[in-house]
Amino acid sequence: MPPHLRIENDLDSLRQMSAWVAESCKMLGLSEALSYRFDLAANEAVTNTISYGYAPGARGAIELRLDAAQGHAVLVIEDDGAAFNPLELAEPQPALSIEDSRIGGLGVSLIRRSVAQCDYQRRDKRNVLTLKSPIIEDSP
Amino acid sequence: MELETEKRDGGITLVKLRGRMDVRGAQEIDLKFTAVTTVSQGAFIVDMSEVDFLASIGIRTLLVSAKAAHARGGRLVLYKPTALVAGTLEMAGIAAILPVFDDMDAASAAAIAS
Repeated sequence: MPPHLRIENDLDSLRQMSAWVAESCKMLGLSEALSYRFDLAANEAVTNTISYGYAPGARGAIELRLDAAQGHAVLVIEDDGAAFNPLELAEPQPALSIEDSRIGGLGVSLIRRSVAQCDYQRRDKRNVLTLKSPIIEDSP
Repeated sequence: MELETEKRDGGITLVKLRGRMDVRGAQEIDLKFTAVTTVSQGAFIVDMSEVDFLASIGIRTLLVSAKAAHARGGRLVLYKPTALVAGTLEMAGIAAILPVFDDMDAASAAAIAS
C-alpha cells in the first residue's frame, strides 16, 4: 500500500501533512529536494483548498497519496470541496519593482514550478490534483 | 518560528529567522516582523540561514516587510537562504524586489545603498 493520509479542512492540519510528506518520501527513498518540493506544492494546494473550497464552518476531508514507480514520484491530492481547478489561474507577472509587486497569487506558480507535471480532474464531485516528478538524484 | 533582531553598524537591523515559514510559522512572526520594519528605520538584512521551509505565505510576510521598509526610505535584503529555500525564492520570481546575498559584506552594502 502506498502511503496515504486523510486530514480535515483545517489549516492546523498542514503541519501533520508536511510531516507525512517527509516520512513518506523517506520511506520511498526519494531525495530531500523532491521531498521539499512535494511539501511545498502540497502546502500551496491544500492551503487554497481549505481557504476557498468550503463554506464557512463546513467540514471536509482532504486525502493525499504518494507513490513512486517507473522512475517517477506521484502525489495525488483529492478533496470534496467546491470544484476548483488551480491550474486554470493565470500566472502572475514577475514583479520588477517593489511598487508594482502584488502580494499574493504566488501559490499556484509555486505548485507548477515545484513539480514536472500537474494535472487536474473533477471526478465524482471531487477535485483531484496529480503532481508528478521524475526521480533523479539532483542537487536542489 | 522565532525572530530575533540585532542592531549592526551603519544603521542596519539584522533580523534572524528560525523555523518553518509555512502558514503557522508566518502567523507566529508576522506581527513581530511588521513591528520591526515599521518601528526601526533604515536597512534590514534578513538572515534566512535557519529557515528550513518557505511557502508563499512566508514570501508574503517578507514582501510586506520589504514594502514597509521601502515606504520609510529603507531597504530589505535576504541573507544566505538554504539551497532549497533559495530555489523557492527563484520560482517565485521576486529576485528584483527581494535580493538574496550569500556574503554578509555584499548584503550590508546592498542594504544601505540608496
